[in-house]
Amino acid sequence: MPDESGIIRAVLDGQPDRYAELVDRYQGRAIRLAFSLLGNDDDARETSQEAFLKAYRSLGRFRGEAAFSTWLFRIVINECRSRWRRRAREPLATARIGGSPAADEESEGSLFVDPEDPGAGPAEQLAQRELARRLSQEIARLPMQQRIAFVSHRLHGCSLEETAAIMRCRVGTVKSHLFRATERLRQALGPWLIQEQHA
Amino acid sequence: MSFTTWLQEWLTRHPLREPSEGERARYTAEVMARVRTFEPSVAAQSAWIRQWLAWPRLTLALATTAACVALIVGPIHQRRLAQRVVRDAAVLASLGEATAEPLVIDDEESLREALEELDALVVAEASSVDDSQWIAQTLELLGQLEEWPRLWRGDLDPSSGAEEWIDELELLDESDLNT
Repeated sequence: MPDESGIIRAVLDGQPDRYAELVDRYQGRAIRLAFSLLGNDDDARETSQEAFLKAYRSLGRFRGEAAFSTWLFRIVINECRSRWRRRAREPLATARIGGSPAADEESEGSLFVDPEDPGAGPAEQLAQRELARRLSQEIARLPMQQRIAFVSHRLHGCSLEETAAIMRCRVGTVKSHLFRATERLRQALGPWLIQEQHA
Repeated sequence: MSFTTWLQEWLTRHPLREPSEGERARYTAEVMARVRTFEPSVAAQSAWIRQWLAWPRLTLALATTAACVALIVGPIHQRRLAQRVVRDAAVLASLGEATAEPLVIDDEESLREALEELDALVVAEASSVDDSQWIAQTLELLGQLEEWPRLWRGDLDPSSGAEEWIDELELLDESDLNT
């Protein structure tokens, strides 16, 4: 796999097509991150593409102090924030503040996670699907900073340090957001947790 | 089992949804189609801007620092001047001299004027110190220097007036100067 800084140098030296390698490498994580924050497939796709374009336009300013992925994810998060604010200003009838429209909630388009569990029976599949839907909804309801910390660290597996770099804050602040987010989710999903433990 | 452990376990069984391979290729193609609409050098331009901005950034940072220092030091200086005015006014009040009008200090210039006025008053007040006090202080000083005026030599009557004492002390000063 070619070196990341080598690709960036090549793009800056007049080979823009090499940027496709970076897009290919990070699009999955960028889309998932945007999706976890916006709760909508189309928005996630569009927002992550915008982030890739912004990153391309600003590539010369990338100093290489952090990984390209960290820098890119920061741009993705900023784009998601902007979109989230725009949504908040939309009229109530069309707004999808903090989550998906009611119609999407019933479809799998609003789920962050794969609800299928191959080893489960039909009844449990149904329960898992409901839990996946509820978890996605509750994550979408978290305040933005808590949601970013939770999604980045718990769902995307970024380290605390990487999450702090993405959020441009201290590790302690990330931990605080994580604690609050986990507490909210624990309260909201408590009944399912009890069911799971009894199952 | 804690909620966090349960959630982690649950997420391993239900991973985040991935875009399919077909979608990946289409996604990259869409991004690159938009990238190609830019000028070829657009990415490199931002590098040039960053280099060019290096020295104005430094200048801007220095100017901002200087402005911040001025903003911090200015009011401190003004507060000290105001404290001085209050202190001097208190000194005057203790001497039975009050300023003719209440002090109105709303900027540094009027503060300076008020201070100059007070300085003049204080200096004038200092020159009108009681003669007997001045004599006592001078005698004490002379005592320390072992210069005894005629009082201790018996030439001057202790009941003499202040004028005689002053003459005597001035004579002492002159004799000091001559020697």
